[in-house]
Amino acid sequence: MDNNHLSKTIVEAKNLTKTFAIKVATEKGWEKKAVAAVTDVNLTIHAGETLALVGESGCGKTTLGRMLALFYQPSSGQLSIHGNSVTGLKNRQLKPLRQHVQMIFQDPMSSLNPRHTVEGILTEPMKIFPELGGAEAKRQNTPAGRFEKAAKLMDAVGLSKADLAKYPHEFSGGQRQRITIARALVLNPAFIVADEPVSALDVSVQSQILNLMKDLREEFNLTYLFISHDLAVVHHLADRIAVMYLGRIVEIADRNSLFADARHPYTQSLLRSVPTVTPNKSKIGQILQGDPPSPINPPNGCAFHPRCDRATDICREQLPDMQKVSDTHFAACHHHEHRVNTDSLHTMADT
Amino acid sequence: MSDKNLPVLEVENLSIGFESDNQLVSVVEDISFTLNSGETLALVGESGCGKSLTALAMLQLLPAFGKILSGSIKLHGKELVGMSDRSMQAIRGNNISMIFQEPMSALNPVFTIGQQVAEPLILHKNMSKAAAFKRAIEMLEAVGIPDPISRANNYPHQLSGGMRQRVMIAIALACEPDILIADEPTTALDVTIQAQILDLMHDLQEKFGTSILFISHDFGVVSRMADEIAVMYAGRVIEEGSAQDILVEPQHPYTTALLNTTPRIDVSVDRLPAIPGRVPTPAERPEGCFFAPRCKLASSLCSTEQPLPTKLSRSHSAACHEVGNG
Repeated sequence: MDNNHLSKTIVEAKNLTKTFAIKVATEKGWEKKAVAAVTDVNLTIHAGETLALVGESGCGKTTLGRMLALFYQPSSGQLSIHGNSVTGLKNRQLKPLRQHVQMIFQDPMSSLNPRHTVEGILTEPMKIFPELGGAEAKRQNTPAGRFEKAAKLMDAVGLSKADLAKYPHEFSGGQRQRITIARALVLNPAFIVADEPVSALDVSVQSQILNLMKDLREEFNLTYLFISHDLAVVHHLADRIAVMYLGRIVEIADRNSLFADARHPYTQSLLRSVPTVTPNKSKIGQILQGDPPSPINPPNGCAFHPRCDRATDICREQLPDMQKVSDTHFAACHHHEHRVNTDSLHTMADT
Repeated sequence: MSDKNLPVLEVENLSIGFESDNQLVSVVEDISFTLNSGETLALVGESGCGKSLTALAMLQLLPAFGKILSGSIKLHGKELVGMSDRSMQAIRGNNISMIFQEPMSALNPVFTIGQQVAEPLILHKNMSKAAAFKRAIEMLEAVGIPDPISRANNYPHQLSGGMRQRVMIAIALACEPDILIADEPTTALDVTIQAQILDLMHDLQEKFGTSILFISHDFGVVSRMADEIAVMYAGRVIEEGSAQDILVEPQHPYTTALLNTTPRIDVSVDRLPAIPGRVPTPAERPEGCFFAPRCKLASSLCSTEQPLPTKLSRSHSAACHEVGNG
């Protein structure tokens, strides 16, 4: 990606935090607690880039994605989308901003209304935003104009105009995901949050959707936040990658730096765990032990220290700040200068 | 435990059909494979290729509308097809056991995990409750559950997904079966937890000498686990061979396409070579080769005549008209 085109900022997040109120069972009965799903996230996403958010279940990647998609209000911190500050805005004030941000969900079975035809699904956003896109667009926002726009989008995602009359159940999983992508494009958004868009799909269909998302990025000048647990998929699509652990971003880097020179021990473990397609019946070895800690009782200091073989006293006491590795690479680790010969991260498993 | 490389499970010309509206649709067609002692055979394919159905047929656990139409399944030379329910029950969990994709729905939420690991021992090994529970704690320790004595009294919801899958494995291996069928055992797990479970299965295979029938859609996972691989497409085995044969020198166009279309962490490509179209449902399967409509190499022969498996080497065979023709 050419750096000159990356100047415009689409998303700017400062100290973004989201806490949820939960009830925890204790010996004395139910106790109310606040659990932080996302803590102190600083993030800038530039126009035209694809930022991938990776991490394991429960790390807060979906919560962060939903804040950026304006589904959740942050508990604290600042967020601006497409140049508009959204901090503290009420729903009514947020509505005009929603056209800029759209979302693609994991499961296309449950994210399409089964009672609407595809035409209904694709034209609904235009009915909700009749004032959108200037006088010319307004004039075209008639039933015929909306149908034409829907037909154009169906074509863009590889489906046909005739499919508009059908219901979601008449399509396969991959085709349904194409429909949700078309729906996300209806209002010409600048920014799309895609939350595990291919993990429910078969490998052969997954690659079709990934290729489609790449094509549409060029065609519609899109910026993606691509949430995924699958590092191989991320490696294929992302320009930059942010790794989350227990609600915080622990490492963020351009794709090549992250895969070749990961500095956070958690990122290194993740990379080591990805199986490569090389015949080699053997243990992976040197893998991360244990489960991620619960966000209800996060450990002191660095959240990763109980599972980290590099942890020292400072890790147990003090939360590490983001440390600069290079202009495009940052890691939140007290021992970030510790490099692993990272070519070996993938090949170690192979030899 | 028998010697290595002796066949434990032999499946020959197995066909499975579904009955609906008095019509019989054949879902799995004429598949054959052999699982050798102490080895891992992987069945690989996309959803709807019949791999899970094949696994269920080994245990005679097909859904009510499913039926074995023909073929044979032999465990140590003994025919399982047509066996009575009572005799099958003595085999399930004892000689052949199974672990599933979703450990939460496979475990019983109202019994402790200790009770669930002990159950097959009481049923198959005539152990007393106390002895079985003691053995259950040993099994929980063997699968890497920390503090197994107190964990044995936990209910499934108190454990993480990875821990639940460890419990499933403890139940499956409690009676030291000859064969473990693992149906996508790590698909629901995070990648670091997946790595833990795969390593655990390696350790246990070494310790107990269990033969594993490993079902997966993920070539990465399969390359870590398999000695032999059978690739399935639309209810047929289209290519079979050693892990080396299939992963390094695949011959069937579907295997090649599937391998190429899988995103990889160690290879960068601008576009993934996608396979057009999708897997046909049993009712949509074409004449001739089922892969022909999506195949780059398909000729007119492919759309009329079903290809039979061609032997390429002692271990390797592929069912394709183009294979072996140069």
